[in-house]
Formats: sequence, C-alpha cells, structure tokens
Amino acid sequence: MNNHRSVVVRLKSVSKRFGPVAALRDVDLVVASGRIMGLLGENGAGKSTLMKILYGLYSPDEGEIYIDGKAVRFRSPQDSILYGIGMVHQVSTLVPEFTGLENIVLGTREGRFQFSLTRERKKIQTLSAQFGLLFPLDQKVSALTAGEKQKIEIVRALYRGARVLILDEPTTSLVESEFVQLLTSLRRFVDGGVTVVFITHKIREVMAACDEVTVLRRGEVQGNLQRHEMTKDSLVKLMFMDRNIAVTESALPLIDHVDVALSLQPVLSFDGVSTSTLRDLSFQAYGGEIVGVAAVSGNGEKDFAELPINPKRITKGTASLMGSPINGWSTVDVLRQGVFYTPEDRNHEGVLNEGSIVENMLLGHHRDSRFTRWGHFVDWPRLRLDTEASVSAFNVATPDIDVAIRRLSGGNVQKTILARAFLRDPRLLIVHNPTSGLDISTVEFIFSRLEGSRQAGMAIVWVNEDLDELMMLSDRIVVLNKGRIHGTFVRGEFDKLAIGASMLGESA
Amino acid sequence: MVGFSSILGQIIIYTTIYSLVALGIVIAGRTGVFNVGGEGIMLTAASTGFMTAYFSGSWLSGYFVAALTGMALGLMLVLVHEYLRVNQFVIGIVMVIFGAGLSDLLYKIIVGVRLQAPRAPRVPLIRIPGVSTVPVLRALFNHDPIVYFMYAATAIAWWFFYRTKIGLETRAIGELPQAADVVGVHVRRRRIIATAVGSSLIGIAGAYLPIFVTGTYNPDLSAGRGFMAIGIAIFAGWRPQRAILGGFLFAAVEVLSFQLQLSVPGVPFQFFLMLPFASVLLIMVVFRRFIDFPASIGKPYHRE
Repeated sequence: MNNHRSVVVRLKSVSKRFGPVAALRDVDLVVASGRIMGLLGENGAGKSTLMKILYGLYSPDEGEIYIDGKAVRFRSPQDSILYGIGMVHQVSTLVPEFTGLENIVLGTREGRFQFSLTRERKKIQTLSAQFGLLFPLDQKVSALTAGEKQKIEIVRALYRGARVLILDEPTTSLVESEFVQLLTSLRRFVDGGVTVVFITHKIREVMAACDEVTVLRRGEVQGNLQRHEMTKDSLVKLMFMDRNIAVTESALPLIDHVDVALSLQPVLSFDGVSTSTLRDLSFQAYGGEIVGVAAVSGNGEKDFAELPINPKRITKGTASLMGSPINGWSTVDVLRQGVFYTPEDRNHEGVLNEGSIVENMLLGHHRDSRFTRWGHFVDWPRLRLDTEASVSAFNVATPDIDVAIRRLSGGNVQKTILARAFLRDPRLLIVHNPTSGLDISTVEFIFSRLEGSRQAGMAIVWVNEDLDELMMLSDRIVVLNKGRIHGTFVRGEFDKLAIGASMLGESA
Repeated sequence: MVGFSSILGQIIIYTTIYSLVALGIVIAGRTGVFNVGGEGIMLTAASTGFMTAYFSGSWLSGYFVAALTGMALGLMLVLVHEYLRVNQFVIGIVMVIFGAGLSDLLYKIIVGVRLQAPRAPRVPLIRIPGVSTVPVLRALFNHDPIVYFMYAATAIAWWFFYRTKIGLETRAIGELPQAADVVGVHVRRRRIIATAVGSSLIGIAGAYLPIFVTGTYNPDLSAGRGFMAIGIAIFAGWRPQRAILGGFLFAAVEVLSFQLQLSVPGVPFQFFLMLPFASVLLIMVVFRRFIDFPASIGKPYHRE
C-alpha cells in the first residue's frame, strides 16, 4: 500500500457541547485521500456530530479544520461545499415534492434565474453512468425507494464536485443486495479520486467496506486501525472497551410450528384481512414466539403494526384475538384483552413529552381498575408505587418519577414505554422499531426483555427496520411488500440475501 | 341593475385587494412562514399610507409608505419568530390586534376628528390603447395603477417560483428546510426576505382601500379581508397563479352581494354581508381534497 497518501482532511482537537452534554471531546481525525475511512461507534458516540462539523452544519466549540493542509472555517454547508465536502445524511434531505433532477440542482450557483436544465441533466446522467448510480430523474422523489433516494443524494454531492464524500449510516434503509451495490459504487468513487468517510455502528460493514477505521466512543477517539489490523475482536474492544456485549443467540424455539398450528390457538390471527393499505393478510402469532416483521420502510409495516389495536380499519377478512373475532372492535376493547403496542415514533406517538414519568405510565392503563378509585378517579398512590417498581425493574435512569419525559434520553424513554407495557402482563406485545437510535446496552436490555417475555409465553410481533436484529431474535420472519405478505422465513433458514430480495418484492 | 362591464370592473378592484394579500401570504408561506397577521398589516398600512397620500398629495408616496409599513411589520413578525423562537401564529394574531389599535391611534393623533373626512388625492386611470374599448377586456384593463401592479406581481411571483432555480430553492425551504440548508441555501435569510416582500404587498393592498376604493379612511376598513385572504392562499394551494383566481372568486361574491342587497328587498342586509365568509367555508369544504400545503409551513427550523 502507498504510505505517502496526502491528507485531505485533518480535524484537530475538536470539541462540541450541546447544553450540558459533551458530544465531542478533543477529537483528532486524519483522512487520507483516495480511501474509504470508516467512522465507527455506537449511537450517540459523536460520529454524526463530528461530520456535521466538517460539513459546516455545526460549528465546533474548540478545534480546527484543515483541508489540504489549509486552515478553514465553515459557517454553513455553502462554505464546505466550495472546498469539495459532500455529505449524505442519515435522514433523507431530499424535497419529496421535487423530482430527482430538481433536487440535485437545488442550491447550485450557476444560472440562478434560468430554468432550462438540459446541460445539468446531461452532466447528471454522465455522473450516474460513471458510478453505476441509476435512478429516475423526472419522478417525484416521494415515489422512489430508499435506495434510489440515497443514490440521488450521492449524485447530488458528486455533482457539486465533492472530493470528500461523507456517508452517514448509509445502510439503515438498504436491503442486502443494495448494500452490495453500494460497496461497488464506493470502490468506483475511490478509483475516481473521491475520498469516502463511512459512518456506521456496525462492525460487519466496516470490515466489508473500509480501508481504515477510526473508532469513537462517548465523543472521544478510541483508536485508529488500518485494514490489516481490523478484526472483529479488536473493533469490539475499541467500540465498547471491556463491556460485555455478547448478545445472546436466541434459544431454541419453544414450540414447533408445524405441530403448533394444529393444536394451539394463536393469540393473534389474521384471516384474509385487507384494509385500505394492506392486502389479503393471513398471519398468526402464537404464545411463546417472536414473529419478526421485515419491510422496506413504507410498505405498510406501520399499518400492520397498528392493525390489531385498530380493527375498525379492516375492510375484508377476519382478525381474531385468542380465537374471538375482533372486527369492528374499538381500541379500548382490544387493549382490555391484554394487547400492548409500542409505536415506532416514540417521542411523538409513544409518550407525552411534557408529562412526567408517572403520568405517562398511566396512559393506556387509565381504565384499569387497579389504578382507579370510585370509578373515575386516579389512584395516584397505587400508581406511584407500581411506577417506582417498574422504573427500577427496567433500569430507567432518572432521579425520580416526576421528571418530565422530555428530559430523558431516547433509551430511557424507550425503557419507560416498555415498562408501561409490562405494567399489566400483556398477552400480545406489538413493538415497532424498539431499538432504533439506542446504544448497545439499552438494545441488549430490550432484547433480554423480549426474550424473557417469549419464555413467559407471550406472543410478540416485532416490526423492525434492522434485519440483523430480527434474525438474531425472531422465531419467524414475515416479509411485507406493498401491503402484502410476500414471504415467510423460519429460524434456521434465515438468509439475509433471500429476505432482502423478498423485501424488495422479488420472488424467491 | 348596473351594467355587466361596470360590475366586472368593480369585481376586478376587489380582486386586487384579495389577490395582493393572498399573494403576500403565499410568498411567505412558500418559505414556511405562515403569516396570519395580514389583517393587522393591512390596517396599519391603510392608516400610514392614506395619511401620507393625504398630506403629500401624492398617491404614489402613499403606496410607497404603505409598502414600507407592511415590510416593517412583516420583518417584526419573522424576526421575532426566527430569533426569539415565538410561535408564528401567536405573533400573527398579536399583529392583528396590534395593527387594529395602532392604525386608529396614528390616525387620531395625526389627523384627529374632522367634520369633513379628508379625501385621498385623485388616482389617475390607465387606459390600454386598443383594449379599453373592447367590451369584456375593457373591464380588465381600464383601471388605476394598482390593478396593473397586482397583475404584474402575480406574474412575477409565478415566474420566480416556477421558472427560476432560485425560486425552486425558495420553495424547497417551505417543503423541507433541512434539504435547502444542507445544499447551502440560507433558510433564515430567505424566510426574512420572503416575509418582508410578501408583507409589503399586503401593505399596498391595505392602503388601496382608503386611497382608491373608498377615498377616505375609516376604522377597521379591511373588514376581515386579511383573514379571508388566508383562505384564498390555502384554496390556491399556495400558488400565485391560483391566488388571483381565488381572489376573483371572493371578490365576485362580495360585489354580487352588494348588488343583490340593492336589488333583492326584504332580505336583511346582514345576510349579504355574511355571504363572502360563508363562501370561504363552503369552498374549503368542497375543495378540501385538492388543497396541499408546503409541508413545513408554520414549523420553526433550527439546526441544533
């Protein structure tokens, strides 16, 4: 390997605080040209913050940025773009109402008062072809898949002449085959003289993609490894220090599905169920199993997760709980049967941010006779007692239960929501992306609770965007595509490529 | 009954009021600022604009001061929102109450109460040679300068938003401010400019009433049109070219209800006064499916 690569970007002693939280402490980073540099760390380690500073979105409290050895100061992305920095953000930053072409030319300097995009179109098509990033130019972005949107974002950065391309968790919404495609494109960028910074929290991806990796933990650099020094163990050690992170492989399934289907009654059952967005679903979840639901975001997975608590949406077919049809039932009726649902968007749909922990704990249990007196009054002493108990059982880090939810971290909010679900042992638990954006110790904790519930005979429907996680814990994985069940995979025959293909709607 | 042409001409005059205010709201709305203070801006600008025109004897300087007044209030609205992070709707409503009080206060301090109401200077009509004698077109092109100004402003706004890249960027802010931000468009700067420009149009529309339509200043002369213009902006799907259509529709209802008042005796006149408001409601219900908003309108944007 060439040891005399020039340094494109050097970040020197960068620090950044958000209020009382130190997001970055004295971070040094050197990015050599023509390589794929990994930036590895847990959620909240400071990877995105560091790169948003390089991109000019955040300004550092301390520290300097050097591009090609020259000290620079970026006040907005407009400045960093001029120096050839491009960034593809974790959350799509494309305007859904605009076409791909419009999104790409957005913000470029030339021809601000003209609108004929013929020249621009040509240039974009050339770039797309060169790097193997093909997507429709004239369709509204809102109609495109996550993979296509990502290609547009990458081309947008290259179109602006990016020499350093930052990709922030680029694989979040990609299925396996798209990830493989992305890797090919990354290699082409490097051959074309572009330097890539690849942000991820997955060791597997670093091993597959990067020439070099810098590991961050709690806002500090833990170390830098070259390709030949990278092993799973060395990376794990840098990422988590000595914390034990062995996520247990799921124990053997408690039940054998072939027998079970004949003898046991499913907790939740859909029989040819359709709604305005879902088509002809037949699906069972039994007590003592975790059913994973995999889908590329926007294929009806949210409506699927909400269906059991909102059976009024059903237009055709029958949904049953413990054998009794629930068509036409209200949410209250369903919840009374011991169903609990934790939504995907925890801060907007899961909790009242301004309410305290104990107030939030009551939601969904407010009709439970355990927490009411004389019919309609809240039994606060009883509720406080139970809240105290479950907050400590779920390790929610908080000084007391009167703290407003918005003061808790994402992980603690999620733990509170789960603690609430377990306040009364549910028979059916529906969880949607319960681990997104959480650090590994919280993820592990949630996994252990899910597994514990399964052992206790609960039925768990787990809709999740992260396929690796699903494969770790599920007994079965059901794939949704365009509102239909497109495939079912049983533990033992999980295959990331096959499931990914099914998620994209390809037949096996 | 009055002749068709004269009624159409009357409708065009009221269209000018509605469309200009709606256009001002649309322009700010495209960057994500929901200006609900239009009524207050109209009233204040009506007062300052009329007084300037009256004392200087120049209608043009009246409109100029009205535009500046609108701009000042618009800046107040957007700056308080952007820098002090106050909710847009709260400031907007405050602006309505503030404007209603301020406009009368200024007028009473400066002009006072007079036996004979002061009249605005005469505004010349501009005739377009050729069309000014053609029957229907005559009603569209035989007007005072502000009518032409409204035509031009609508056309320019349409061209800007839909035919230039800088307009595309501006629309992007209203859809998804972070998308504009990450490609180097100054979100805050654009919001401030758009709100200021939009509010100056609202100011001109406010002053149009006392300077041209009535010729004298009366308290509360905008009579809720600043609110109805919000309805027009929404009905128009935040598109300049449709704002003019919406304005025409509401103006037609208003003018026809005047006419009906005169020609249909026996019905209480309050019924006709209610018609424009009722039609806003009706149109909203009928067209609710076709109404789309800039996705981030009314929402604050902060990077960190």
